[in-house]
Amino acid sequence: MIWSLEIAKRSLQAQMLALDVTSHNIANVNTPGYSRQEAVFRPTQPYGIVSWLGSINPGQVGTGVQISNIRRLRNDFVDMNYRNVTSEGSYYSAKDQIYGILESSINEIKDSGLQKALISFFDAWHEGSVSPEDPTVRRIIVGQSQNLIDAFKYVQNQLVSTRSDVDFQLVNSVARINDIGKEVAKLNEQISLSVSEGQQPNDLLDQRDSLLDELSQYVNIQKVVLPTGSVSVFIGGLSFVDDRKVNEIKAIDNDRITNTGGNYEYTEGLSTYNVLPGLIVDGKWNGNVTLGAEDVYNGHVATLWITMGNSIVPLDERHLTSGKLKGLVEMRDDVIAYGDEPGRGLLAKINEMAYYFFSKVNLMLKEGKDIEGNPYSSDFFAWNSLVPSHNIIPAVTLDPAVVSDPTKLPLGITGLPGDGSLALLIAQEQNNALETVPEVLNSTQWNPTLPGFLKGQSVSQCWRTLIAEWSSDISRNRAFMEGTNNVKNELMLLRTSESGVNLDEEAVNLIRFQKGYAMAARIVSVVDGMLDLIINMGAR
Amino acid sequence: MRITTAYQYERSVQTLQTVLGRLTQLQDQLSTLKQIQRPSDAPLDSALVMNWKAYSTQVERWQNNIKEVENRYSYTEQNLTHIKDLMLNVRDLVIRGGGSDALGPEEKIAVSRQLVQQADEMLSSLNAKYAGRFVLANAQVTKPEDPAWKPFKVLVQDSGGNFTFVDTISQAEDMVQEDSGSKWMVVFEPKTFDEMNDPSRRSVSVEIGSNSIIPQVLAVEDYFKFSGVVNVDGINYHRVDMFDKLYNFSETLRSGGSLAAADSSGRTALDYTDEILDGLTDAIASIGARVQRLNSLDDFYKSVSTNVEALRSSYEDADLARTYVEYTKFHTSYQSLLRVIASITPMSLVDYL
Repeated sequence: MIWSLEIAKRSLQAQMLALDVTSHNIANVNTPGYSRQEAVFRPTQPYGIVSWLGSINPGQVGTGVQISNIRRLRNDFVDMNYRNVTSEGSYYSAKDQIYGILESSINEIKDSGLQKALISFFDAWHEGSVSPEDPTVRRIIVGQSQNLIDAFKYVQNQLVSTRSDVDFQLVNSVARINDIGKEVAKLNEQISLSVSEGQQPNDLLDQRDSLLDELSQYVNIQKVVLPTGSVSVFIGGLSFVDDRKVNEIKAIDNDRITNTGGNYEYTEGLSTYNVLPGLIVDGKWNGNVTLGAEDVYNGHVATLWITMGNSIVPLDERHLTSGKLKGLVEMRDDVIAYGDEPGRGLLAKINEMAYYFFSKVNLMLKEGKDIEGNPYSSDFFAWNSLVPSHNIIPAVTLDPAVVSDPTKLPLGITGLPGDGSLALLIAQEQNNALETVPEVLNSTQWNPTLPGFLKGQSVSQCWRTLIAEWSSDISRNRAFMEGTNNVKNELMLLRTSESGVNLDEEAVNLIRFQKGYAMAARIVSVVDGMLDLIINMGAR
Repeated sequence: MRITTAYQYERSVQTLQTVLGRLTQLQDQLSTLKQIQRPSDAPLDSALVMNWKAYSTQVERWQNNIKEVENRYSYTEQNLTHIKDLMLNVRDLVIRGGGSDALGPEEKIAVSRQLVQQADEMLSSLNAKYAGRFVLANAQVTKPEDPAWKPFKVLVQDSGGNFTFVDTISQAEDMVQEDSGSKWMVVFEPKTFDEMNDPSRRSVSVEIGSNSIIPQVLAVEDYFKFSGVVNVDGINYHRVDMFDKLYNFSETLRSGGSLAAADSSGRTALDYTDEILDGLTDAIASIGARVQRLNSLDDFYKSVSTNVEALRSSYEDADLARTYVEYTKFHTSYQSLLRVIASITPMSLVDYL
């Protein structure tokens, strides 16, 4: 009978503990990353009774209940997929965000921007062909030419400044990634300690999973669970968190990596890191950013590396397959600056476009004469000849002599007041392919080796093509982003379905455990009554 | 599938975001009246819209050029018509000066003076300007550094063979009367763009179509005959035949002769006058034909412009009725969604315990 009291006590304790777990679930119903917990009831060890009724063996007698485990309801398979999709989604979202900024500042569908400036430029030269002797028209041509330069510069500035912003985001992201790595390593330590003590550190595991979720937004990760309960985290095969140790990621300005006879190194304070040999091709990080020299457009940009003791390994497209970091690097270096593919390398392409167009106009104008019949020998669009063709826009200015006195502008070939023949030829360049030899030049004077993207197109067509390719890229990226986000949302719902708390369910559990508790208490009361009966039997 | 409280909230938020996103997009379309807000909304359509906008501007430019040339041609036509009218007056005078031997010397001089006045008026029409440019001037349409410069000039050659420029034919006539060995002539100072290989560009030209250009100022030699070249101070001037004839008529009358008499080639003054009149009629008809051609080209561009604008609009502009219907649809959907969320989320078993 006394044993029944023990069974009742065990039940009371188990129901109470289960009630605690339910309360914990209810308390965390809105906690992001929280995984529902469940008290697992298990009968305690039974005992066999000795038969005093001959050969009959009635079997074992139960000894009550205990909570064997507080289970954390989490599906690793869904987690893995969720992180992979998060990483993909963040890659597209990072790009979409930057595309959005660029597209709102370079919105060519509106009646402003470079397309409008080009139209006005050619229109002004057309007007010059109609009334070449009109000083107002000459002023307009100079004004529209300056406007065209300004439009080119505006596009260049927008691209360069967005690139700086992306670079800033990249550096900040690296700082957060390293923080996450350190937090994961610290949680690894606490979790392995709990596990070694035979405990199930559910909430710590939740915290670590939340951090890994966040990390997957930045980079593609692979998680390996160690027997101690710790995890090792890899980024594209490179070890980032190794149990309790973090191999930090470094964002280092490209010009701070020095070339020491074919090998590269980086010095930070008293430490010098060597780049593992053979990993840098053509002196460029990720195939785009030159190391140990100034960046063409932004002076310097951050390059990404992962430390391995005293060495560093480039963290580039070989390792970054998805995530925000990949998106940022791709936008900064491939889309905005140097890429070759359609819709990529906007800065390089717009500069090449300006270079060949301005060069052609300059050559044509040198075949003309000003209003007084003097030959024109200056560069109308002037820039320092040392500036490379892929970055001339910041250096372009208009011939100051023409700006101060537009009569010096050669609109005709003869220089007679009514001769607007040269202006007409320049106006017709609106539709002529850049490689076409104009009437005033011969193939020796104008025989450019145009890059592929410029071939067969006029400057206006080329800009429209760039915009079309670029906007197709944006649209495709947005479609991928939406697709990935849909999958991510579904996976999140699936995860919520598995690990989330349902308040109604918990309310039912509350009643269940309350009733269990009440019945156990009832057993105590009944046994108490029985004991009372027996104890007081002799007294009657 | 197990539905959790968080699931319900997440699902509600996701659906709200989707509907709100579409509502915002439609709102933008309604407020800007454009269905494409940025190129990436419809890359192909945007590229087409950009092309049409560029083409539309070009067509507009051609239309402006056509109007400009048309006005100039019409003004030229008016001037030539005026010259023709004056020439008809000359014809009357020639008939008067040749048709009757009853004219005394004084009357012949009077007719001669009237002829000179007609010639002066013709010269003034030849040197007429439209929008600051001489209408009959080939390439040299103006000379900013010399505002008094004119393409048609009056030149007097004295008995010593020296040349003097004067402002009017009347002035020249006075000088000729004082010096019997002298004579006057009207000369043209031509400028052509010989440097250009394309002969159609020998005069000031403008573009009126894709690689299609037209002279803005008509070439003088197409409408007037020149009788020779006079070199003054190293510059070649072309003698305008029409005025040589007028000088001869005037000279004949002044010296008491008759305009009815045939010259060595057997032709009378009236024959020459009619020949000039025929030339002017041809010139006026030719300009009229050009104006007509420009008119039809302008009509063509008007329809092109309308079509291009319609095409651009069909891709770029929002179909207001459809967009508004779509907006209303999503607005209703949003409202019903809010109602559903509001009714589901507060429900809990706790309320029933």
